[in-house]
Amino acid sequence: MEDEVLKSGVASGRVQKMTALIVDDNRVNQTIHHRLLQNLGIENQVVGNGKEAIDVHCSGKNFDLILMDLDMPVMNGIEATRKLRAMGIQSTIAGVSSRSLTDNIQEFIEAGLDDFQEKPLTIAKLVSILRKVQNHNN
Amino acid sequence: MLICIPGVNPQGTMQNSWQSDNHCLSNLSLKLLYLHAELFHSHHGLLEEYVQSLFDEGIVNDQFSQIQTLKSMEQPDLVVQLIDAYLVDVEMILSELTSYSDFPDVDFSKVTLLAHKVKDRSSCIGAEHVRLACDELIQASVQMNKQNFVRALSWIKKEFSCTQDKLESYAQHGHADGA
Repeated sequence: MEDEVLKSGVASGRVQKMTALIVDDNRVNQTIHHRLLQNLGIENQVVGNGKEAIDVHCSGKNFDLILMDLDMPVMNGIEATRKLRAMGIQSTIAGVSSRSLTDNIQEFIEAGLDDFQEKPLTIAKLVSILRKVQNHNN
Repeated sequence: MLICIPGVNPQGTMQNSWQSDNHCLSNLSLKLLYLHAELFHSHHGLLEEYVQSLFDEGIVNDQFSQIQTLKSMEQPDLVVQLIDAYLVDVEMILSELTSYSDFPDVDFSKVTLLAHKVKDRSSCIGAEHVRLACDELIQASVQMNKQNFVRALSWIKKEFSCTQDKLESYAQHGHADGA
């Protein structure tokens, strides 16, 4: 129900069209998250690791939301989040991982996350994240 | 061209009728279409039953339902593609884990990371049995207990093998169904 409200909000212009960056090294996760966001009317881009997330921001792009995976090659989610905050990026960064909060996610949160959600990302979890983005933007 | 269609009148006696071949072909096409639709619905029903059995056995969880909703007209076989990618991915990771278990000294930092990867992939596709088996493997890796690690690895491979068979069956039926 909530996702329909959000979708109609985006469609009618009451909710500003959001943009998102998906940072995940796994193709299956990339596809799932991409489609979930797309179905909610959120324009989104996908990159494969933390370094690519930094590079895409260095190219001048900006996003309302960054879905940041934790375990990635080249540059993991903790380092990427830290670097993005150091660059002054104020987007809502939501960490997503199959590791639970009890698995010492503290370092990830302290790197600069606004939210953390345990995988799998469901519509309900995504809507909860998007509400935070809306509040952040307002 | 006219075609003779044998028939029976309401009084029960034989009565042939004559129809143009176009009309006949149109009737034949309709009948074939109807038959095709019946077969499709029958096959689709079987697929739904099979999916339900996967849920009943605990092979998959609600996340698998979510995945089903992601397919579209443009990508009708998206779910099958995701399943194929998941199976290839996890098979490779398990093979790597097996190679680590062959060494006398296991690099537990690496195997912990790999175990988390299997859990990550399995969580996102909704492969419940495999996901649950990952916790034992992760615990053994974190505790750096080789014996437990080998045992947990054997269990997860068994669960994955079973899940692989079931999901491959689904994928084969799914291809035929346009799923």
